[in-house]
Amino acid sequence: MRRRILGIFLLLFLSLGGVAAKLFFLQIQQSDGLTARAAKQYERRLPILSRRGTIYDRTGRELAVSLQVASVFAQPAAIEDPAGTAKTLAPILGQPAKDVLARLTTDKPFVWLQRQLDPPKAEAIADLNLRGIGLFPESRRYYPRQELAAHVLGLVGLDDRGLEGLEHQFDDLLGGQPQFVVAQQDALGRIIFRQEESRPQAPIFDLTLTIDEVIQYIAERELARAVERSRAKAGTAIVMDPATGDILALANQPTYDPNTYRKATSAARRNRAVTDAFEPGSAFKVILLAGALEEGAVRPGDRFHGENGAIEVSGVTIRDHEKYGWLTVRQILTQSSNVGAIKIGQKLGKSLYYHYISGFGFGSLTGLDLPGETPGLMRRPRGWSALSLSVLSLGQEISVTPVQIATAFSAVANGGNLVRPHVVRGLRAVDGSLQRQVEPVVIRRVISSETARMLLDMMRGVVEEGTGKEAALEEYSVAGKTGTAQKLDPATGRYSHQKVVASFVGAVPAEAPRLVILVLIDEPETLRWGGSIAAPTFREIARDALKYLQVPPSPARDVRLVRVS
Amino acid sequence: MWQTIGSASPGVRVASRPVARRPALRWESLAFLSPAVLGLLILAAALLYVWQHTSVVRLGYEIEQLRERQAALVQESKGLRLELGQLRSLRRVEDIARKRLGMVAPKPGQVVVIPESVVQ
Repeated sequence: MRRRILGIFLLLFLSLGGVAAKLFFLQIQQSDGLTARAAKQYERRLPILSRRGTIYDRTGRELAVSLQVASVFAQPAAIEDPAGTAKTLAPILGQPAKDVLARLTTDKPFVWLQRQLDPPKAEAIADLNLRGIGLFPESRRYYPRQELAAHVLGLVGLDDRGLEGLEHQFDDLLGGQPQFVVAQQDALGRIIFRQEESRPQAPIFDLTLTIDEVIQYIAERELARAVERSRAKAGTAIVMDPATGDILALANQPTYDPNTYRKATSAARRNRAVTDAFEPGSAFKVILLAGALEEGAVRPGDRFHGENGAIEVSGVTIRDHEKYGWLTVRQILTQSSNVGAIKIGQKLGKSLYYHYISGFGFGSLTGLDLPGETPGLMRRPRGWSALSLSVLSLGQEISVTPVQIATAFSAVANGGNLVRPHVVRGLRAVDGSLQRQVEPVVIRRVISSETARMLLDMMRGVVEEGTGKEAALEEYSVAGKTGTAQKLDPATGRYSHQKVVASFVGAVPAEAPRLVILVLIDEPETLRWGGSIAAPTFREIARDALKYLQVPPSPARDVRLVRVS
Repeated sequence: MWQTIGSASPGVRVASRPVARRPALRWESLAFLSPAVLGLLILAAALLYVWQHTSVVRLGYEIEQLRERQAALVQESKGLRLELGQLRSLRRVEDIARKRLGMVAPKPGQVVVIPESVVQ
């Protein structure tokens, strides 16, 4: 009897000992590995999309927004019937079945079938519930206004990184690094809990631009018309607030729709206003005069002889398009006399002229908040040839960007201060935690307000009696300057007579400029003078923009305000 | 005999009432009850725990569902805003205004901006 009890006791003890040993192994020895295995079954990493910030125009209209879309992927190893799966998916994806099949049968563990599907397609695929086929949420950038301000906004690549324009420049602030949260799931893969974020995230910002959608639209419309009408290669239009440096519109031709940027050529995607430098031509005579007037080298009433339309400098003859006799400084500008400009340049001298050229910001970056800006090309006086001073007086032998010209003319329009141009007006964190306004920055005073006033008055003459008559508006006085610059032919290394850059830069209303507008037409085939193609384009942009901004007409021209007493 | 209310008159002894003594709680009797009560208490606690746990899980599902619904609605609203943005594109608006509605840009003088100085 005792032995039996002892026997049973021993048996129980041994088996319990076995259980205890197993427990020890599972709970202590293999604990880490098993916990991880269990976690793998009930935990899942969920991608959460931190949305990319929105870009607004200056009045709060959405120009770039992000939407969550799905990308479809395959895990070829998990697919049982590749041929059948390919056949089902092909019509939804809009790809040939054999192409889909090829990707389903690779030995890679993971392949994308199509990125960023339209939502109905994604739903159709989700409903199919195919083995080895999955959907992954991704953020896609939409530009609701299509090509509007395309070159300013830029574009975003497939991986939600900004590749061009503001999207590139402010990529870190617009945000959008993919984030994950750990969630617990049940046997069917439904989410039960998700662990709340503990890691602090960098705030994501919305951008507000200085661009005004309406003015941008007007500029783009008129520029497109001008480029088409003159059968030009390209064109740029910039509308700027001279007091603050706010860029209200920046348009380039050719342009593209960033929603479908892959179809666009690189020529269409280039932001010529900042990346391309041109020889400015006669528009540069304003810079020459600014220096000459400021230094007292000439006065508006001083007279120079036009040499009957031709002057010889270092063995080269430079001509005017008309045979002028005596011309006042004012007439030299209004008639755009080359001979006169050369004589003024010689009076001002090399180093002072250089001082003013660089003072107006040429040869250096404007500091505009857009990527890819070029400073242009400007040689120091040491490197100038005997001809350089004269040619520079005509705005050749120097290359400048459209933004540089608009900025320099803004300085003349605002009374002599060079302001930094900018397209971003403010930043606001999406969660409201931070907010920053971009304040106008005055870089330096270039000329006195007295000189600026004199220049503006002379530029009014250009429109009223000179080469820029086509820029005149009925209700507003316009101050501006035409430019027609011959382009260097890269084949021959000489100035081409066929290829020119026609431009007009002006300020309206002349008595107190609200807008500085630049229009530049590259290689027009017809209407090759700045006065004949760029000036009327300036006029159309100015008219609609001033009407939109409700700027009262210039006093002398306002015939309708009849005093009723 | 007159007597002020609330105070015992001098010389009168107020005897404290004899208090009935309760029988002391005996461990033996508790020990007799313990298996049943303890079992019930443990069961109640276990049920409470399970109930809590299931409600947490149920609420978890509910929250997740609502979260999905919220995300879908946010998406839909964004999609609609996008469509609105596309429809408001100025090129389209101008096209409709000019071609379908026959509108024209005002001629100089048809729009009169009254300077603020005149208004005041």
